[in-house]
Amino acid sequence: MNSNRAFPRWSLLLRYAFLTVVAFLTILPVLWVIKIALSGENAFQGSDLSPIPSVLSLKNFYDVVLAKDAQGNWIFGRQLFNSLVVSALTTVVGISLACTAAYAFSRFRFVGRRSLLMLFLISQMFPGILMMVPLYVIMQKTGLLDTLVGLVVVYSITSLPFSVWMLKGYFDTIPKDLEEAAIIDGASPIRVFTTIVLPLAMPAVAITALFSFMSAWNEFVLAYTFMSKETSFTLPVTIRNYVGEHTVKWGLFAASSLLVSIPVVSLFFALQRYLVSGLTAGGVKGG
Amino acid sequence: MRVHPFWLCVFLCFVSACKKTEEAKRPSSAPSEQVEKKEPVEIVLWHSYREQEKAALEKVVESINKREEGIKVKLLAVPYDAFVDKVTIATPRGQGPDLFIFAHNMIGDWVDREHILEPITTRIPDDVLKRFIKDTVRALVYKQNLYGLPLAFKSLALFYDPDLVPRAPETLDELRAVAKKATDKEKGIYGLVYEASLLYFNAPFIHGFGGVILDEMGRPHLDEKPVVDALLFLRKLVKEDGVVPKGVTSALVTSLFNEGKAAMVLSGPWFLGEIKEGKRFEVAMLPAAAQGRRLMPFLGSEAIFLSAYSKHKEEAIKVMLALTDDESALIRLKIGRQTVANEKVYSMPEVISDKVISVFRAQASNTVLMPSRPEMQVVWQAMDMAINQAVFGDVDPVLALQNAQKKVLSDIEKMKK
Amino acid sequence: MRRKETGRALDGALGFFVLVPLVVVPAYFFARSEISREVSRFDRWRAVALGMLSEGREVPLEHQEALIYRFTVKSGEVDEFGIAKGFRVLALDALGGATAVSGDEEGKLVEIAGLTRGDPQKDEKCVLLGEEHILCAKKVDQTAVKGAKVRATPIRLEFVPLFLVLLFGAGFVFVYSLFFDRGEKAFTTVLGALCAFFCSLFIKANAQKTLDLLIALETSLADVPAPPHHVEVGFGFVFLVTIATSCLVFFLASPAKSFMQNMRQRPSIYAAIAPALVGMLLLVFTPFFMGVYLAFLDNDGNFIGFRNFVEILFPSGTSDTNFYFTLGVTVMWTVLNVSLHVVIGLFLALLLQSETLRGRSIYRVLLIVPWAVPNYITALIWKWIFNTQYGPANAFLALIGVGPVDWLGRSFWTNFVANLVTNTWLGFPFMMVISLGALQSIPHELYEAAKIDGASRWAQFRHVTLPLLKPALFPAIILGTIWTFNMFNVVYLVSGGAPDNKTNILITEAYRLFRVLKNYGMAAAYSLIIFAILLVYTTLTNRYTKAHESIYE
Repeated sequence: MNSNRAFPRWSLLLRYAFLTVVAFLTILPVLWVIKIALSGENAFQGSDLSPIPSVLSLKNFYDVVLAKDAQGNWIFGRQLFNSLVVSALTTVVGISLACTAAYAFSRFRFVGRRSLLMLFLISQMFPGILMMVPLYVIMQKTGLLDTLVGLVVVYSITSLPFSVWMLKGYFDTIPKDLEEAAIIDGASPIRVFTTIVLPLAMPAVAITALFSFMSAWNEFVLAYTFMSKETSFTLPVTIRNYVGEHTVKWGLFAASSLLVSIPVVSLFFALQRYLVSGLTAGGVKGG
Repeated sequence: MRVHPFWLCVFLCFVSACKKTEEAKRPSSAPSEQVEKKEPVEIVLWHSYREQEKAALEKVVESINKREEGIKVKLLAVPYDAFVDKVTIATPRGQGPDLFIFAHNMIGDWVDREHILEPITTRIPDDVLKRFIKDTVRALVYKQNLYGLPLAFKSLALFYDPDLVPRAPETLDELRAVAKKATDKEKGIYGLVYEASLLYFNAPFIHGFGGVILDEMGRPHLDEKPVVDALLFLRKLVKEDGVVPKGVTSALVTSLFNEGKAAMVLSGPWFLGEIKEGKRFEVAMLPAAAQGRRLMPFLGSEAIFLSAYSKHKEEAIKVMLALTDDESALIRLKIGRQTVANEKVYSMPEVISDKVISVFRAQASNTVLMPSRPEMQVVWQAMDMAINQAVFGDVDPVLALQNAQKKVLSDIEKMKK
Repeated sequence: MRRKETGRALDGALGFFVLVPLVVVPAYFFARSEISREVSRFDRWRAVALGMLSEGREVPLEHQEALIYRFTVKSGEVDEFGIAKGFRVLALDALGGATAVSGDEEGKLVEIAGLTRGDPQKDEKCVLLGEEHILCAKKVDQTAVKGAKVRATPIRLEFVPLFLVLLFGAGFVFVYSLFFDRGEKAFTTVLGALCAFFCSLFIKANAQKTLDLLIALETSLADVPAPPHHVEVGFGFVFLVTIATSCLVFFLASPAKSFMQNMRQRPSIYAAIAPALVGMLLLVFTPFFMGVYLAFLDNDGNFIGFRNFVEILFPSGTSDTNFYFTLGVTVMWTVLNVSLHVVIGLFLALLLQSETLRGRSIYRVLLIVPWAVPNYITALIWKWIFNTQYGPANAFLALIGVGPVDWLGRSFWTNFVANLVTNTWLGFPFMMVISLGALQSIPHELYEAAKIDGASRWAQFRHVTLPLLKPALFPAIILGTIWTFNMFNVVYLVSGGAPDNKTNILITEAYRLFRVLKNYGMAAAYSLIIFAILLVYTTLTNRYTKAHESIYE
């Protein structure tokens, strides 16, 4: 029993057509990026507007992936590894901290709740340029400069406000009846949280985890500022390498950008089912 | 209890991240060993080179490392737009490099505001400076102190497509004529293609008419007659003759030239790396303007600087001298296709026969030094705007330039506060 | 029970983060000015002196400031490169022309009278002449005298008042919350004030010794010769530290107590939040306050109070893009963007929700692509799309017969629209994903109930979907607004603020102040103002949300 009501055929066709057009327009700029990436040496053809590449060459991808630094180390793999480690850890740490905090904010009333929530929100508004130098100094004094752990710490903490807010919003929509029932049955808050609330909130957790991963993955400014070795750079830093003072190596720029976006796209593809789990929060039978 | 594979992955990630931390810390935690073994001093050098220039630098550094027993140079390639930020944040906190390579135009700011440059006036042998092209050294002198050694220079020259332009124009009028002849709107061919909305690329014309953009004391002269004349001339090129396309970016310049749709291009040595393989091209000096003046582009000096916070200044100076000696210059020229600052290289037979490099060398003697004063930073944007309004738009050049002058003066006031 | 706990005038945390700056910071500034003047001025002038020496700068007599010192530097000639060559002679002329030191024509450094400190190895000498004059000179070889560059190290004595206030304030607040009851608040305050008073009195009496200690510490860590120093601490220091401590204890005692009580009753809640909070304190709030400090300084590091703010908020009218214009542009930018994001995102999410649509997952993936590809390259592609001569936008317009538009040229509106389109393209996937998730959690039974009641599709949307989306959409909208308000990349990369900085939004304008005009203090002030605006905005929207708290029924 779903919304499969009497749909006129034309309505369905209209939807398909509309979605197709919109999807095409949406990915058109990216198609151009793909075209540039596949065009080998003659990357940017200014006057050729077609998104279909006229030359097919994987040279740019090879060059990006096989790049070496001055000491002859293979940096792409290393930087990919760095990015993966940093983003994965950021997500795990960030989401764990955020879940517990958001649950507390959502379910309990306590002194300081309102102001702490505001505090989380306010910190989103701090302008980055103001904090760059002080953050650098703090990282230096704590010895976390030029380390991956340092990046993880900074990324997870700065992604916290957003995660907490998103998760709290979702937690708010989950009715408390189930939890109250469990508490009456004698379960501890932790058990209630892990066995009842978390599964129900999976879509939210999945989305927030995705956001967290993405912001850590794409982050460029702190990465290049804090790291001083090519083998500690993360991937987005390398992308910027191809933008020079007077020239842009469009082919390599495009190829590396695409390579960097693949994990995020695949992650989203994999997490899709959490959005479609069709879960009805009405686990309460009989209302 | 079975460990969920997910948590196992997380644990592994954490361990590897921690390992990195240890690796990073280890070198600094074993100083005593270094003293005993008399390990070479490590000199850190930051640059923003890519591809050929990077390869050339790496080769030079390799030979330096072999030659000098007690010195080991370590390179780090930093993305260009991140370079200034990274250097200014890291250096005063002791996390910066010993040496770094960059253009000269930030010297004023680095010395006055950030205090990250060390003057090398008294640290180099007396006759070292003689090996360089004079202007490239002048660019590195600020308030009577020398702050770096020049590696290469950058200026504009005239690239042209021999299929569309038989001979390089020698005067401004010839330039106009040739451009008009080559322009064919239907085929999309333009006579003169360059990034015409930027001051940097229009400067040759302004200087050719005798205009001064920023004088040595840091005062702008944007609304004076020569500048107005230059803009009027450019306007004619754009509007009447239609030989200059609008809104051209560097990527478009490249692609138009490679497609054979640009008869002449104003660009610098970096353009060589952009030209498609097999495309015929020629380079010539910028033509002469009226009254004995030539079109003179800005000269940029790319130099190697010494950080004021370096702990091994003596060794760093040795590296600077080695990087700028004539053998290294030759390598940088041949592999990196750089227009090096060393004079002697240009009289070597293999370089004389390289027409492109020789043209740039000749052009270097007809340039205006790009001001390194902090005031220059605000001039770029204001003049870009004025050029856009007067040359591509309909605003009277006199008015546009007066506005620009006013704006620059008020911004300079803001800077001084 | 809720009201009593949260109904306090000042919640503990809010109190801490608002009170500390309001009370302690001004006290700190005034108190420190009472003690550090001597030391920091010395160091600063020393740095100036040495700086001028190394530059070989000549200061003609008539251009001196009315300040106290004069330099006479006779530089030798300059060589062909413009570098000063030959020797330089330095002489510092104290008030009225009595020369404390001079060099002779051959540049030999003669003896310097007066209190000197310096590194004998490097043969450099710094002399404090009288109260306020300082000379530094350095001999390089037998014949030349040149400037030495020694960095002035600020002495940290100025942090002592802050440290004292926080130590005693926090300490006594903590003690009160643990041991005392409501009635004894006054007692604790007096106790705290007394402690602070005596401690600051002690420091005042032993100021010189304290300073010696700190300087010894500084100079042993750094590598610089210690300057001669003299310090005196005024009574203002004592007075202000005492007042600040009492205020802190008085205002924070009760909230802290209720906070601690609460914490003891239900520790798990606070344990859940603590790690997050501590992390944010260290890595977000501390840098913030450090950056805030910048806004009150001018470019030379002098404290100028609110002057930066005054200059921004009351512009003197020379430039044509003043703060209010940029603010207007930013507001318009934010409102338009967020509306478009939400409308488009929600619309697409609704379309994608219908289960009869096959290939939904493919569409979904395609539609989040703008979000997945790094926005650096896509912004540059959009810049090309709007290129007047070669961009696809104009090519498309040509297809439908409209003439080419000079998008990124001289018109404000075309630039603005270009930015808007780019950011909309970048931003709608986020709202779409949020809406998708939110739509999933609306149970089907409600729809069916509505259908049974005979509601049309539109009515269903209005009465079922929309209200239930609100709790999930609201946080997203608030966050989205904040992000769009501060969206730097698009405006910077696509239009670059053209024409003439008009399409700059507040944050790119702050960046321009920071990077181009190098006015760090003003840039920091600008950022603070941005922050304040957003703060007001979120407070207002929060009130609104609270009034419409999630009614899940």
